[in-house]
Amino acid sequence: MLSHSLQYLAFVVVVFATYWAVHRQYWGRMAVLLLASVYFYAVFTPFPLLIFLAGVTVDHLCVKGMARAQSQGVRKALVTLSIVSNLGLLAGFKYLELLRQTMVSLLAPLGIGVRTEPFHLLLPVGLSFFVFQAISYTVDVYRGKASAEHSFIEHLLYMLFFPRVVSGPIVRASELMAHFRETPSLTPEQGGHALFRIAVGLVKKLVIADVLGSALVDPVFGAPEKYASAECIVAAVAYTFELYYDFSGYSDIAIGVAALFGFKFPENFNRPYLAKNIGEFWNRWHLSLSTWLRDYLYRPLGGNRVSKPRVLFNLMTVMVLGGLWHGADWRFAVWGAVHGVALGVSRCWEWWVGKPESPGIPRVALGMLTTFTIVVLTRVVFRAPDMTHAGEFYARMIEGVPGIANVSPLVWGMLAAAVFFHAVPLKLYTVSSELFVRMPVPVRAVALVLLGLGIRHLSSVETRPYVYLQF
Amino acid sequence: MDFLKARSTGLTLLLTVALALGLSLAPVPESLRPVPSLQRSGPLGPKLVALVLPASLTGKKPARPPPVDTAVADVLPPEEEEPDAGTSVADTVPTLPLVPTTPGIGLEELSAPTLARALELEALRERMGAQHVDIELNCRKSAPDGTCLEDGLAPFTRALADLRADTRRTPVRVVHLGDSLVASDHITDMVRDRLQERFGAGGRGFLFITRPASAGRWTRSGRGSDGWEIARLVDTKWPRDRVGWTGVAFTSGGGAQSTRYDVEGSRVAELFFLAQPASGSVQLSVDGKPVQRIQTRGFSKTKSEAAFARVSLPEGAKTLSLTTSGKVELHGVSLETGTPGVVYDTVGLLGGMAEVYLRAQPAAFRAQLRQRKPSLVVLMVGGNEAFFYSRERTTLDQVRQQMKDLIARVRANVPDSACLVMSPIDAGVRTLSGDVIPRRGSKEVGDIFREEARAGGCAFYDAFTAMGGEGSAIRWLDEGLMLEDLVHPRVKGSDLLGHLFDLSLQRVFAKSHAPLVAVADPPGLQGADAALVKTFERLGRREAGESMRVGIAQLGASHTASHYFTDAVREVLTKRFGDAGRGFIAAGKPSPRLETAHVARELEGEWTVEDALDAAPGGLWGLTGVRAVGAPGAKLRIQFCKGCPDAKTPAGRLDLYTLDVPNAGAPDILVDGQPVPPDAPLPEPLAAPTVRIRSFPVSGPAHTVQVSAPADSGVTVLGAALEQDTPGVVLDALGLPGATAFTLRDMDAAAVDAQLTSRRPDLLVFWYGTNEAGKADLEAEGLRRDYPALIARLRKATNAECLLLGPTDRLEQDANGQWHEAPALASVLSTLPQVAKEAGCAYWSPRAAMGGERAMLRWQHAEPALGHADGVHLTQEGYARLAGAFVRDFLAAYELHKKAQPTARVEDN
Repeated sequence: MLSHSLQYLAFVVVVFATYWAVHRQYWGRMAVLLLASVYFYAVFTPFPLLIFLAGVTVDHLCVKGMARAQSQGVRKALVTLSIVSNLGLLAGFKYLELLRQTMVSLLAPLGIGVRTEPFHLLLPVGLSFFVFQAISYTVDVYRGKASAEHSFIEHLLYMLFFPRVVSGPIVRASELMAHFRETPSLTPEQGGHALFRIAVGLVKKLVIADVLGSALVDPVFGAPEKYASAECIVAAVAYTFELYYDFSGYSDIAIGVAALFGFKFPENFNRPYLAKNIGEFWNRWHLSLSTWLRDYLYRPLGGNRVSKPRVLFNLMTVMVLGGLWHGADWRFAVWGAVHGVALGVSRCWEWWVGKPESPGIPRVALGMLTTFTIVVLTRVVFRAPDMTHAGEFYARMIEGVPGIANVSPLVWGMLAAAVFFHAVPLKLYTVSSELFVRMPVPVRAVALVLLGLGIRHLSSVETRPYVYLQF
Repeated sequence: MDFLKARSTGLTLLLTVALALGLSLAPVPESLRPVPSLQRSGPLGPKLVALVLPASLTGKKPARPPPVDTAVADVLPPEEEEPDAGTSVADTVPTLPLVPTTPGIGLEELSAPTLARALELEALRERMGAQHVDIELNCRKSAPDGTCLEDGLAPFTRALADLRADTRRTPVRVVHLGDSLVASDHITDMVRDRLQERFGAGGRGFLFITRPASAGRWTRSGRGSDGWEIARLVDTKWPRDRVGWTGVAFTSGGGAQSTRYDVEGSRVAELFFLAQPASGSVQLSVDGKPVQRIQTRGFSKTKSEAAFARVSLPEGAKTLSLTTSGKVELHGVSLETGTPGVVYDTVGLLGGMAEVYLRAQPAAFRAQLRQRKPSLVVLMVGGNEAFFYSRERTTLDQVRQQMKDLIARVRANVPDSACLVMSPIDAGVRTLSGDVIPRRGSKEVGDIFREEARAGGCAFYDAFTAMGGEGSAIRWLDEGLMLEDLVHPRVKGSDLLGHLFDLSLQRVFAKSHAPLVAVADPPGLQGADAALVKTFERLGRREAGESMRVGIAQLGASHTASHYFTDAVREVLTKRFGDAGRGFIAAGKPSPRLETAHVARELEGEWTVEDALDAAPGGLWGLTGVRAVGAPGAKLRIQFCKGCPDAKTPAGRLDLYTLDVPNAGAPDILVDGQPVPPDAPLPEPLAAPTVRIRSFPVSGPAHTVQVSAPADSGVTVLGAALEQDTPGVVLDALGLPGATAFTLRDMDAAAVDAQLTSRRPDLLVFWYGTNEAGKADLEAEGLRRDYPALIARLRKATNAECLLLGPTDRLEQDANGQWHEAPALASVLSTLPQVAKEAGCAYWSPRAAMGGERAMLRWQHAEPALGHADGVHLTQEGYARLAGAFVRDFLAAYELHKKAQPTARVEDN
């Protein structure tokens, strides 16, 4: 039940009605949200719920232990236990097979026997997001930034809350769990904005991302040797936009659905392709992940308050691990490492020439173009099934094979729309949302149905999962 | 209800849902309907449920999220566990023929177990709306006036006919190239098994070095080490200059690599490799012992070329291992039995298309194909072409050109081989609203393939129509025959596709081939509904819990005398209906064939075992046509349930059959070591030899009867029988090797009738015919006249029903070593059904159950062997296999009877 499916929308309507019917009773609304969340996940596959339940139980005991512990050493041991158990889940289900394959490649030539049969462990949907969110809570409790007084049910719901459980955003306890005991409210304006946000998310995902993906990106990445160099370059750009509209569309839906229940999720994107340097890009892209990496990895490593070489090391460590978080494949580590190098170079440049206070338009344009180019080029590694394919794709991009005929007018149109909506002033979005909110209810309904019809006609024929679902 | 207040979000949602539903159901153009599927025919409720509930809650399998990388059309479907095919006869579960079989669809030559499975698939076909589609033969060779001289499959059907006639000494090879549907080998294994069953198995055929993909079955590859570098024609960077139709290059780049094959039953292995400059070598080892080292260095110092090395495998070889030394590129290994039979090579490449096979290096393609000397090349692609066409990533013109080129290449490379093109099967896609709709392209691509096959002189098989046409993938998904990807059939669906394709091939063969025995010999139990009513009634009452005995006496020749068949039948029947004892054992010499039944015979002193084969008519014989004549003082022992633990229950009866001779003294009889009381004096002295049946009460399962001839005269013993007072079945095996129905006819009628009546049979099974089939001078008319009379006499004596078994597939070898049908086989096959009909008996054809025409050859070559080298008898495994088929049909007819007359009863006899 993907969040851009009719089943999900019907599910949200039913849960919405039930939730607001009982919202004044704490246990009523908690029960509705928890049951809905369990149901939502179980529809994907129920087995991982047991893993998640075990994970939450361990974390909850650690949290309660920290609340009662007088000794800092005990608190440290408990938070360490929580981190280790969560990372253990991630390592076991996500990285064990990569480790086995790597060991086979490294040790088999030396005659050292390593298990040759794959482990065949299924990666629970949303495990990476689950683990990071779980760690954020226990560490926040340890740091005194989050309350340890929440009940087990609250803790469980915080981890399984259905709008975000499969692909984030990674929500801090202060942004979600802290509000469970407050009686929620939803003004007509808040509700209207939420519906508008969901509608925008659907358009982003179904009309722009999916069309770009199925009409150009998939064919070209599937067989780059059949396409001209320019077509490969356009496909790489198209994938860059597809990934953004896919994930930000999902995030819009998640944020909008959470808002329908009175919760405010943090933003996950801030028009990342307008970034003027790679550091700024990471301050605009997948914010809930990048801020998590900043708060729970980069700063504990010393952040910027260490020697310059150590800062560079920290950047590289964070980016490589952040890359690997996306998937158990060394190409993600390579992708992260390249970004780490780019960040390092950018940081060195700032150290050398200093931060320009008001850069001119040419410099801004050059910065944006350079950053975007780096992002597009590294996206090839992100999208290709393996490094060999990525290498072949790069080679094809620079071979100079002429032609651009395979890029259809529909793709050009969608690319133009993608660029336009990415660059358009935020004011336009705000005004549109306000306009929608002020519409009479019947007109709103007509607008939503018309939007649905438009999506039906413009979207790709086949449904496509979210790219980030695999992470 | 705050959420429904004016201007509220809830009201917006409610109105939106109402408007969307209203528009979807309103009579407006479809383009204005938000959810068009609601307007389609059928009740609204289920459609709404399907729309809002996930598939896992509507009784369908949960839809896994589709793979994120949808760039590749063809991926390896996940493997499913296959049902374990039970081999024990006792495990035989009778299944009813669920659909009436239409004569001529190709089922006729399947052996009984395969036929049973085929009938299940027929029922599935009926339910799914799949169809029997005939192969369009087209024309591969025409006369100048346009008359077709040779149809598209002629070389293949000719080769099969040669195999059938035993005039071919080389295998008939099929090379089947395709995509992932072939890679899983679930469609092709069905075709391979069926062809090999009908025409003999020539071996496993071509196998990859190791699995070319990281998943999937190992059935079409060796088990290779991890370090093989694998390059496939489907890869972006495919091996351009060296791989032929085998499609995959396995290179040992760094360090020695190895692979291992299971070669049981194989006698010839052929290595496919690349001969290239500065290449290394491959060490071949059989069961761990080195047998040959093959140098893969080519003659040319600059060029590489496809090369082959043939190796003989010793008899009984179990594994073949290949270990490389230096840089070596291998393409595969073929394994063959070295005997005539069908070899079915399959190469399935994930993402395989005509265009992919055209990527093969032309010279390697030609060399590899010629090396195999195929009688048929099957091209089964199109699924990926249809996928790319549906995504507008290729055009029909391109698809046409590619198939045209591939056909031309095959025809040019192996001009003497037939070729067959298959259409792609139906597929589906999911839409935004969760609807599953047919994927466009399969029909269009299939139509193009049909035209190109016709133009290129290849036959064409419309798998799309056979599957059920457009939309069938959706039906198959609903019935669990299709994977969630809506492209790949599950094992059951693949089996159905293989079944349909195989039958279409068989129909072509049947039309092109005059039967070697021009007699209708249908499989299955004929006439049981009328002939076995009382038997089935009694079995039904026994099964329902009534304490009663059901007696079956099987009279016959060596097939019966071997006990293997009856032991297997008894095992199944007694397991289901209860065991009322071992039944009759003839007097005679010790026999290992009785050991499995825990029965032992011993002769001590001077004994002569005589039989009725060449005796004058009218002799007195035991029920099997045998009598053991002991000299004075000689002893005979028959031991039942040898080795069984002592027990006091159940109570039972031990009968001893002897021939009392005038003026001879009474024998000394010991039952379980205890002397029995002397016989009461006869009212009158015997004037002629007389059969005497003595009955002794016993208890427990294990018993021994000993008969000692008196010191002053001899003794003649006919046999002994053990029965227990437990309800169940008693099955007597009354066989005399070499006997015919005439042998039984010529035995003293009164003696036979008296003995048989004492056995209280409810059913008489007659299994004569195989020996009659071997008589060049058989008087068929005499058989047709006397056999019914004999049956009528015995039925009258016993008040039993009857069942006739026909001959097995009896063959004879001529001086040149070629096999032919036994001289009177056709005559017997046509006579015995008439005899059964006239005598009011049911009829069952063992030959048809074996697989019909020339089945004996296939049974001889089976692994383990099922047929004896003499072309007459079966091995123990063969009898067990045949018994399994018989009992399956017998119990299926019994089940039908139960269904038809659930409450009917007849009087106990």
